[in-house]
Amino acid sequence: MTQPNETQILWRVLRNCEGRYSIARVTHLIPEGWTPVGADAPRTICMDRIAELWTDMRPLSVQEAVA
Amino acid sequence: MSKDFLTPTALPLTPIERRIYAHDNVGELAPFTFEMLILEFDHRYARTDLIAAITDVLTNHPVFTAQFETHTGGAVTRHDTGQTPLVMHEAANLDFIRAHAAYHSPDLTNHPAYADLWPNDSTGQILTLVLHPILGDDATFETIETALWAALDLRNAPDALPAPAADPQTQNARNIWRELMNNHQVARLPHRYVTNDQVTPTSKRLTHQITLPPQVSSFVGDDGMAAPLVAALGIVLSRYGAQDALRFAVALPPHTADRRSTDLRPVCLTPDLTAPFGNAVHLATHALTAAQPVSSETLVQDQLAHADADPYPMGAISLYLRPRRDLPEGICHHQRPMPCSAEELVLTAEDTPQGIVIHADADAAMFEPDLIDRFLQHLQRVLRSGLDQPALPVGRMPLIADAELDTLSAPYPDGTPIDQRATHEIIAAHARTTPDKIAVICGADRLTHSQLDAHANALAHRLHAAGVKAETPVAILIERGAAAITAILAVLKAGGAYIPVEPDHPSSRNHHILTDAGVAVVLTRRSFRDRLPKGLAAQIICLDDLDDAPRSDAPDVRIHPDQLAYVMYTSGSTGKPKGVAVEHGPLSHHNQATARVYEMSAESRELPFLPFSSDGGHERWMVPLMVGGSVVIPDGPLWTPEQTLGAMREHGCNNASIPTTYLQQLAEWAEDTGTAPPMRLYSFGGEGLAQSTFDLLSSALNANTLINGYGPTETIMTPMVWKVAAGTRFQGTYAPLGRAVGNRRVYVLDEEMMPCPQSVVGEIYLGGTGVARGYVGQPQVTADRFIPDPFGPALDGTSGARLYRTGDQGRWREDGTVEFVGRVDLQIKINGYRIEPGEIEAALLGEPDVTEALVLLREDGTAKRLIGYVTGPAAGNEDTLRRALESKLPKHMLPEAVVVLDKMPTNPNAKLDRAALPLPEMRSRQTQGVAAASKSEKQVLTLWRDLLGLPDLGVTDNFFAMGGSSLLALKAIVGMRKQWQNVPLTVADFFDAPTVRGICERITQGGQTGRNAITLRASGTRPRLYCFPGLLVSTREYLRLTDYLGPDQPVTGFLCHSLNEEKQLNVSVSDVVADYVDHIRRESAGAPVAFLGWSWGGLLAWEAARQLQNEVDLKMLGMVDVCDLGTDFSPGVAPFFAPGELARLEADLQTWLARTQMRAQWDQLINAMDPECYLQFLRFIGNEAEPLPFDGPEISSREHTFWVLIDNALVFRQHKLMPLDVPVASFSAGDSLSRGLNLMDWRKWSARATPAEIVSGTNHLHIIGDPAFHDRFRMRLNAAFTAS
Repeated sequence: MTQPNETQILWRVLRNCEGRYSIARVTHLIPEGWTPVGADAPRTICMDRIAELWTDMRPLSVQEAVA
Repeated sequence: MSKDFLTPTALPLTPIERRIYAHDNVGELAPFTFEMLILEFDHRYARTDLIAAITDVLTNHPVFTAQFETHTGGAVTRHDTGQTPLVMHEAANLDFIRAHAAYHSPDLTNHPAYADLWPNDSTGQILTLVLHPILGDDATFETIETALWAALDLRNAPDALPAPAADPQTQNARNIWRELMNNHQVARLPHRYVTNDQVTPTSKRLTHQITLPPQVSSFVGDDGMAAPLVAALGIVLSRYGAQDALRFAVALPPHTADRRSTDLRPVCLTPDLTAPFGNAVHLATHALTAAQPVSSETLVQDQLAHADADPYPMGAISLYLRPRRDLPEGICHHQRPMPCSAEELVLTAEDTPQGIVIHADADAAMFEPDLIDRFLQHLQRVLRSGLDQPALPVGRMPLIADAELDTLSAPYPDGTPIDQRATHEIIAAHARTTPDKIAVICGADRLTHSQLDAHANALAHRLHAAGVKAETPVAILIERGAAAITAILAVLKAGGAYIPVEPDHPSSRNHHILTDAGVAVVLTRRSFRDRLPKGLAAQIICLDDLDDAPRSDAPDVRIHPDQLAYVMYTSGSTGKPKGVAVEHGPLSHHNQATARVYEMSAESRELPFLPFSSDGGHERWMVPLMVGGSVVIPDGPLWTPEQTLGAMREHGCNNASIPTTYLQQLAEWAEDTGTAPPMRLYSFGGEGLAQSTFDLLSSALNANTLINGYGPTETIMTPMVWKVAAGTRFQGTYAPLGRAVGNRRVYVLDEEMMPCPQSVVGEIYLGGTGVARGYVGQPQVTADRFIPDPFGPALDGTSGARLYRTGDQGRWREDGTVEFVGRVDLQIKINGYRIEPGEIEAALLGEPDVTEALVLLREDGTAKRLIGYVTGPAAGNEDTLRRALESKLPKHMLPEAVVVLDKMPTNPNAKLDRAALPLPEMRSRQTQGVAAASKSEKQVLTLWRDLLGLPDLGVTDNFFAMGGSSLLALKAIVGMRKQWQNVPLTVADFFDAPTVRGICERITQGGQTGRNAITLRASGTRPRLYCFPGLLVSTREYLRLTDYLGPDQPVTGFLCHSLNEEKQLNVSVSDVVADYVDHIRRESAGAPVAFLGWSWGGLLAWEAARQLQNEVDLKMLGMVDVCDLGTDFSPGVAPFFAPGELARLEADLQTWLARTQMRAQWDQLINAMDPECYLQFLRFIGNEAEPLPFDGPEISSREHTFWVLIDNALVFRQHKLMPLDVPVASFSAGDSLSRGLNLMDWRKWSARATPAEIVSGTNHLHIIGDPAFHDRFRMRLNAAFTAS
């Protein structure tokens, strides 16, 4: 299979209920418990977005408990 | 074939018929079988009408009137002069009728077809037809049926179809196909694992079939079955083999089939996994009409011209398509022939009233039966998906059903409810229940459960006072031991997260760890203070400075299950180590589940040898303490095996956990000294564990249970284990990884994140709650490796779960456990082939002395080199090892070099250090070439340097090792003979002394040269094997066979006379052989021997056997692809010339003779021809497509080769073969049968000759080097030597 140009594959940033982030191809269904954050974009853009948003890597439950 | 035999009534055979004829001639029809048809006619068909109709067909249809005639030189023609009687019988039941028909044995001389008519038990009639495969196949039966319906007035005979276009064996068509086939790899299903000692080829097949349900059948069949089925097959094979461009073979129903016509054509596909099914069908349609069809015989011959052709040149998988065959009312089939079982997997898709039936016929030795069954299910599933979800990209079609995935991914069953307490809380409870029981032993230190708890509490309070709370990272820079364990528990009790730092590790690494995670507190000793980075912004607490009193109360700290328990740094193959953050809940659950899988209890006393820098090291002290047991910690990092086993014995350990790299030493020590104490359980893990090591552990370590653990730090300690009784053997290169432990699942996924079928290699993913939080301070890498879990919701009802991508390759085995295959980032792709290093490693491990093997693609500047590393054998054996691989592996999998090491290099974490593996020298000498010491040496050295193109060559360098070929050796001999004209010099001398110095010694000493035999192997106790050369064949061709036969088999190879400079014209066969016979007589008079003759060498061997009768005990005469003279030069075959052609050819001959430099030799030769032979010679020249060569007289020239061929034909012509009473094992190359070469049937010449064994996938030239041939030959040799 010829690999399409890397920049043409679109990805999306996902976040789950614990506040953890991840990334998946748009051609894959979003599994239950994950929601997209922001628009579909090439992988590098998605990764940049994750770096911006995921500054506190503690799950939400811990953030609340400690506060 | 010469046209001389053809007349209007004598037809030539088609390529397939010619091949079948050749098979029959050497006595081995397989893979072809007798073709049987059984038809039942019910009561509405009157017997007399039926007999008349059948007789009509038997009289007129070409199948039943065929007769074959063989002519001198092996030409075969087909005639219309035969008869097939209809034999009537009394009533019988179907089983009897079938058995009777199966008993028929059609032959080509008298009875190629049988027809029997039986009244049935009820009121019907049963007709059985049995054909020799040369007459036809299932498609031919259809034409017979059609003729029968016409004779019965049921249906009109169809219009005569135009004759099919002649096979365009044009070079252009063949070139197109060759390029297509070379650009697409042969697709095959995964083979079952076999060890070396399991190789007993059988021809057993296994069969499975499925019937597609109605809607799927219609979907497939409505517009013609071919394209949808080819599309689906391409998709499934792509998912199974992950090849970009693949091919298999398809047989469409032929247009006409009076004769055997069904033929395979290659289908070359490059499936696009991102496109939907319709696109795949479109591609399939295109592939089916890619180029003008060329007969498969021609295509196979083209492929086999290259030594590295696939053993199944048309494809390892074939698909036969059978459209609906509507029978008239009241008639049914009881038997129809199936296609011959020639490929690894033969699929037949038939359109029946019940739906489309897909039948699979597979090599039983190669495949697990369940694999074939699953494969058919997957095929069906793809078709169903294509129908139900036409927009779905085919790479996203699920092959595995949910229920199956549930079972495959499931962990060890464990119904025990989870204890919600944290790890340290569970450990602390034992301080109350068994306070005085010993918990930790280290050197002289002893801590009871209550002491351990009390000391940890004291330190915990101090940490709490120092500000440690939830999520606070605390580094522990303390050597492994009781104090470290106490410190860790203290950190956990205070609510912090501990980070173990190994005092002895490189400071750069430790400094990175200490600054990366924002460590707030460092627990250490005064003696380690200087190992801390300058200016570290953390509180430093030295244990030496503390004297807090132990206390029974822990700080009042509530642990949230999602808060951090520890951060452990990976060893990181690239870049800086990353901190893996693990939370309390998953850690505690993991430990509890592990305790149960390992069947641990308060009785457990474990010796964990793993370092504290690895997370597995911590599991192995936490778990025993959690169940109220105890641990024995080695004091000091480098215990010897003696110390280790001694400690186990002294302290009464019943469990031990050892890193794999140390295990080999431990087991070897235990085996040598017999000092292993009895243990319940050993656990280990870390790298691929080879069978040989595992066997050693089983036998030497005196344990009941062995556990092979696997798991990256990111999935918490040991997420997967394979737990077995000691002594279990596993099928595979490495010990399996087993199943997941606790609340986890394991998946093997392809690049599209789709689950892989069992046996198919994919990437290992781990899911469930037992995964880490991620990498400290690295959100992007974390998001990259911990991905959303698509399966959890369906299988477990979970939500928002994650999977960790391990970067390890694995596959699900037949028993559902997971097997480790290699690292994804070390996956090797060369020329479109994905290479599993494990396979190459397994081949190396199979060699004697090899204890460990590793195969990698190494970067060397811009070049990528496939290198194999082994430990075990003595250095200097690299070439032998590499040659051994040549007979085990296909060419594209051969490593460029093999490097022998004393031991595999390891990094401080006791893991393999790949970067430290040395790169072998490119093929060059280590030292400067030695200079010439005499005039003769100088002359020869100059000559050799010229020939080899190596200006640095020295007098002690081996000619062949420096890149010299046999042909160059001959040129060297020619050159040297010019200098020493009176010294006989042969290739044999070269072999024995392949250095300048060596050969000069022989020349100058005199009387040492002129040998006509080469000792390929001198040593061994078995009877000596004498190899007789083919024409123009270098005896070196027998080297591979010699290597394969092993060190106990002595082998001598005779030189081919045609490779000598002197041309002795018209020597008879007995003269040629006389020298060889003398040699054998001198060496082996009265002794048992075996002969091997390849091609022309077979006739020489026969003659030698004749001359040596009773002088040697000939155990076996191996004849390999020995041909009789073809029609070109057989005596008694007068050639045909068109008017004026003879005169023209004579003139051409004279013109050519005037130009050639070999005039004298040609004149000699022509003068020796009798008139008939001379005419045959002219005919032969006239048939040659290429112009006559005159590039002689050099040995390597085309003209020289031509002269030798003609000289040889003359010798052959005069030779009379005599019958002999010798045991003959004959072998034929598949390609030779396909070309219809006139192979000898030795059964005509000796009563002790067996039918030929056919070695398919090779041709006349390459068979002698073919591994399949080596295997068969060795078996026959063994049988011949052991039979008394």
